[in-house]
Amino acid sequence: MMSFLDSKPGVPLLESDDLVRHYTVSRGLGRGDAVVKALDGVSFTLETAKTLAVVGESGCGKSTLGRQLTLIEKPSAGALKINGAPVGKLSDADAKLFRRTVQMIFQNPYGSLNPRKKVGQILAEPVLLNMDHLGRKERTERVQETMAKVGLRPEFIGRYPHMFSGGQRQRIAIARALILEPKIIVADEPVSALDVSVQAQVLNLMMDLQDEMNVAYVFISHDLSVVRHIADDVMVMYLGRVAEKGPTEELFKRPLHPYTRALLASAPRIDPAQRIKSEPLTGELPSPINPPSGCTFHKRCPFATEQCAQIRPELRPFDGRSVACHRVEEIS
Amino acid sequence: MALLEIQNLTVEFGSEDKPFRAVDTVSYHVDRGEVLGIVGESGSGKSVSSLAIMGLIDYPGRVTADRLSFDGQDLLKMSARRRRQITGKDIAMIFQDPMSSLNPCFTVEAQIMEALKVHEGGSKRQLRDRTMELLNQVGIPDAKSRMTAYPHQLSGGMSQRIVIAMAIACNPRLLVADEPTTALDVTIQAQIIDLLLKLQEDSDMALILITHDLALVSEAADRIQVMYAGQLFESAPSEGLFDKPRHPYTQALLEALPERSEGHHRLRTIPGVVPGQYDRPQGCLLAPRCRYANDRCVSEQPAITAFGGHDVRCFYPLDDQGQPTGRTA
Repeated sequence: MMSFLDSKPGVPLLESDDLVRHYTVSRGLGRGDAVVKALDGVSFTLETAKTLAVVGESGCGKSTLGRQLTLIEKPSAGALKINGAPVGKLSDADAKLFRRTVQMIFQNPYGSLNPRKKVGQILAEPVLLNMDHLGRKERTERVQETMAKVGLRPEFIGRYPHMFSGGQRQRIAIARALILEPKIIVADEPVSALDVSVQAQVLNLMMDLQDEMNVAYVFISHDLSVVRHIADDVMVMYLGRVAEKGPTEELFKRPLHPYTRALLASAPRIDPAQRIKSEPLTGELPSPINPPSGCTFHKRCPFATEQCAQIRPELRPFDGRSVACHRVEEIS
Repeated sequence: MALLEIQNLTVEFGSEDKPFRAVDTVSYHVDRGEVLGIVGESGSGKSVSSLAIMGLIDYPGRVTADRLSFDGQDLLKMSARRRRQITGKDIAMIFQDPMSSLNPCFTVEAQIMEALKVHEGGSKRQLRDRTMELLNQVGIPDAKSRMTAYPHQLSGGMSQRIVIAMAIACNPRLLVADEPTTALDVTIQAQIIDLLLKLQEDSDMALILITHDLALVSEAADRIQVMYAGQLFESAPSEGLFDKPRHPYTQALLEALPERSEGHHRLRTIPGVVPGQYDRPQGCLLAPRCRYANDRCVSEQPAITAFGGHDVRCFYPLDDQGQPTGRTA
């Protein structure tokens, strides 16, 4: 029998079609609820063993996207497809199987591990819940195998999270995500809480595991140099919408959307030759409760015209990528 | 004469007989109008050393130094009262998280005015005018309506501007900024760093910029110091440090950056982690993680020496080709 987990030729592993997530927030007594458009129509595809990076400032909806992909929350509208099968229409049993194939790594390894459980218990829990045919001995074997894979010594199995350093804890979190052999891992800022030297270790580990296990990553990050190193494709988000999407090297070499340009120009660089001297972006991210009309970026954009304030630009193909900007032809 | 001069600053925590040195005999100086960058990983003692300068280390922490002088006056030898007149006025500090360094119970106006009142005095009207002026100076749009705002009504970038306004309220001659942009987004980070450098230039103030972000200090600082596990490892002018690092740690740190390994699949890493309280090695603190370490490094602690225009704490500082010098076997 064909399962939705079997890949089909020509069909992407994961496809998001116009994904929307709105939250209603109370504005206080006597006033109606407001709607926060945290995610407002995001589409992308992800292929097996590839890495899609999602970048943007805080409040742009990148973590919300991660929560939709892992079914922690249900999208308000739009469809998510795995191997072409719509996730929203899966039976309960299949949805459980889907959750198994899409795992998550969180930002802060100090908060994402239960301090009262030993590493062995933390790692065995997903196995216990999802592979109940395994006996105790096989379970322990599987735990130790996974620990070895992420570079943790098997004798650490009886230790508690507080006995590990930040980098080691993130390895535990990675092991927990890997133990069910997922096809997709959503990593929400996996290295931003780590020091430079440890960050390099964890990034190397993630890339090695990708080569070895053919897992695809959705890599959510605000650190552009890390993204450039690890990602195949980059999606730049601004206020719940995609500003620009394209292959990593091209996007970094020649950013098209004014926001992508500003983002790259703002990031400090060590090499003086690489520094892009431009005026820093003025203003701050507008409130998603009350976003500006037209293009949500127009108030901070140096190229904005009357049209930008009126009409919202849709994502359209341009020069091998997708850009949501009215004036991309003129300014490129 | 240097504005701030520190000789053998040591900060210890824990019991007398088994102390933990968070800062270990650190010496440096800051000149007038200079931007000094201090970089290091977590646990390197960069924050603790700056807290010690501000006199913010409480019991059971112990601060000792051969000399800790600001503008010719020794901060450790003066009365607490006299010292308080200097810190907060002539030396000001900005902390990492703007959200938690503002008091949520008071308005922006009240908090900035408090700093002014303590150190400058004046009528309420004068204080209010000065506060307004400060808010304009740090680039807060619509300053008049922001005066009566509470911290929760402000964004992160805005809060950090308020904190900066508070720090520069009394025209300090030295500003210590401890990770001023770590909690902020890149576009806001660029704005805040530009603001700090502009203020620094306008008033010829000295600035100590403490951060873990190598790229950030490389753009902002004149001189950079690299700290590791409480010790100063390397000190050099900004360009020299990144072009020709003399200490193996600086070299390794730079190689671990994704920016430096474009085109390579794997990043070079530094094995292991920064030693903690109980596993400080006996010899050079980097020895267990250093790719050039030999027996001497394991048993003996190197002192700081001048090499190639840098101050380096290493037996075998690196030459122009990045190879250790004077090392046998």
